[in-house]
Amino acid sequence: MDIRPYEGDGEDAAQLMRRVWTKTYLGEMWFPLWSPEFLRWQFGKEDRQLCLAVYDANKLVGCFFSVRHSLRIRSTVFPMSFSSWFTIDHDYRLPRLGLDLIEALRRRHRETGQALSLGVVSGDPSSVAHLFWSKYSKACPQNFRFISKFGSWVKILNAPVMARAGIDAWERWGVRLLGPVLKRSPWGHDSHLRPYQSGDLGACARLLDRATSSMDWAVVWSEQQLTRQLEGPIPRSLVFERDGEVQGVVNYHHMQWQGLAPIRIALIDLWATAGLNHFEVSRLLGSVCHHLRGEDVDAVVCLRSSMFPTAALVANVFVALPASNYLVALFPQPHVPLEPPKTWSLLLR
Amino acid sequence: MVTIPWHLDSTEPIIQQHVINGRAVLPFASWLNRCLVEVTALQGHAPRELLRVLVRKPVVFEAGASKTVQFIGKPELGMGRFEVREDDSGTERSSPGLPLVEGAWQDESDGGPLIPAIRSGPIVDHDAFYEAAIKAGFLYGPLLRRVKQVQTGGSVWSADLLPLNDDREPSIGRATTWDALLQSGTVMAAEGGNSCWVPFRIDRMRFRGDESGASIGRLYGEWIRDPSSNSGQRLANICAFDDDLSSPRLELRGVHYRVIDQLTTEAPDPLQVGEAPTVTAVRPESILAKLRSATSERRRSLLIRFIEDQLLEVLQWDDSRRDQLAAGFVAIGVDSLMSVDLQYRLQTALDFALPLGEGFEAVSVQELADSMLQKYLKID
Repeated sequence: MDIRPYEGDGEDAAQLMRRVWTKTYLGEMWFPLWSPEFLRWQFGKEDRQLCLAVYDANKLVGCFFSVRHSLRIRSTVFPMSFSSWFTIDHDYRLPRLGLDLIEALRRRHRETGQALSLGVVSGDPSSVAHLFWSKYSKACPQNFRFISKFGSWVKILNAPVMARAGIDAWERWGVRLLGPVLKRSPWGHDSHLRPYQSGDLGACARLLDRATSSMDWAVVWSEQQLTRQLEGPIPRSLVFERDGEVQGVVNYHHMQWQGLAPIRIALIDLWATAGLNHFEVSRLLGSVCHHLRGEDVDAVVCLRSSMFPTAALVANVFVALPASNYLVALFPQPHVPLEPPKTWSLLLR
Repeated sequence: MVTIPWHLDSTEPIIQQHVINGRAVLPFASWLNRCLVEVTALQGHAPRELLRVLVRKPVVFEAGASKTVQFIGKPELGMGRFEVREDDSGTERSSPGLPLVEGAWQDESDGGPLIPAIRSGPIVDHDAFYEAAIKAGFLYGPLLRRVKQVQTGGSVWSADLLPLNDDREPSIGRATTWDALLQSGTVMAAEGGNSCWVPFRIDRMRFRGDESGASIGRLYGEWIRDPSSNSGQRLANICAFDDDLSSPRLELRGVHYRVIDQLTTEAPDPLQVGEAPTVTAVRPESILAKLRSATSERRRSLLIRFIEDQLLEVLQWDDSRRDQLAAGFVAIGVDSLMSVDLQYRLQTALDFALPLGEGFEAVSVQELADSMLQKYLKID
């Protein structure tokens, strides 16, 4: 068994994760079905130092990937990463393989000067992920910290599909009963909303900077990283332009989630506006939902963080899901303050 | 009919762990374990129920009362100890040196100095108690003392110790009570040289249902999860608990004994314990303390046994599968989740921290024990 930087093009990793996660979680909890395209978007081919894989000869049997970013905590900017996709093939669940992989990734973080990594762990205490990381946090408290719980906002667009996919009875029946209401949005197309263009980068960067400047924790975007986040075949971005000025940006991507059946969602990563009143923000979100309905997604999802406008979400009949997942810190350096942030803008996978 | 053999193998861990001044002194729960083993061996499977328990040789001693005895009272859940009533005013507090719960012992006129010894005699710690009792010898009455119900909070939680010839109704009790009552009874086992008595026969004992199960679970569950606790280790063999200690579900692995045909008041033949181990305290010792006081060879075997115990819990296997552990971690299906669980248990119990970046590389329990002794444990 060899632990080394990931060498594939995303196909084998996506396949491994789908196979393992489906076997582990199907029918028990919602989980993402990662696509090769999504993985390629996340870590590309240039920098694989923090994307580690376990190979049996040339066969991929495990992976743990981190994507580099910069994070501002209060007034200090730290080099860090967002980690996810920790997977070990069921046939290779050896006594220390997972732990060795974590340790290898920890060393890489130290070697590359990362102050910490952030990730998500299911809050379901019976889930394998929760069990593992809970025990890991006790055995290796210096390597792992639970920070806080967080929830999501969900907008149902295709109620029948969502009703079929719900894990719990209340999900299925709730969507069946309330579907006609939940899928409604008071606003339709807005002519000020248009697809993002390369020339919008500067304006979007300024919008994001202004929107997150007062937050406790926020991703700090370099031009290159923001370009990668906003442009390309996987990420999609819309801007709100009025009087020749970009006053809003919405960045999202499509992905599949698996419940009892797969659903197609649009996950909004970034949202920033400037100079719009509450009504205009609500109308902007409504027109985004209208746009996404046209892209044939079953639901729109965003994190319950201060980046997103609560009033506009409520006005557009988004449902606030309870905080069911943990924000966690891996490999934190001692000097990194990890008090739970009240306001934050993060990319959690 | 099943009877407990009078002669025990002195090399059995259960004996080795309960030696006071060279004599085996087995507390009650140990005997339950013993019964479990016997019936399992006889029937080929674990028994469902332990029925009435008769103490064949009651304990009467003059030297003083064990702290255990005075703890016959109200189990203080979550604290892992007992609480006793201070006086008739009903004030309760957790403190040594308090009188027994009124009414706990009846048939005072039945003979034997037990009651006055406990009520007015000195209260000594376990070591002193056993030593004094051994020096003084111990007396036991012609028949068993009957311990009537001990009541707290309006509910009966003790068991009856039935007179020898009393086979009326099954006793209903809780392991906590039995353990507390009969800890003192086991002192008789230390009588004379390297011999010990089996102090009682087990006929019939019945645990209560969910309510009792939940109480026992909460009380002993903490101990069971404390690998340094003898009580936990012992009771783990009697009861299986859910991870959630507040859950009322409790699987009892009792022992079902039929009525013993011939009961006698005569003392049983002494058991030859053989070579006396060097352990001198009956108080539950932490595994770390045991390791520190053991010889190097004994230390290794103790640690292996302890790691095995932890691994069995991690794997959720019962003790009958202990032999399979020798096949090595890979063969028995230990994965990273189990590995990290085991690591945490060992770190906690043995008070060490792995240096950053280091993990257990061992492939078997034996190898792990060796590497821990060499690299991580600060014993000497």
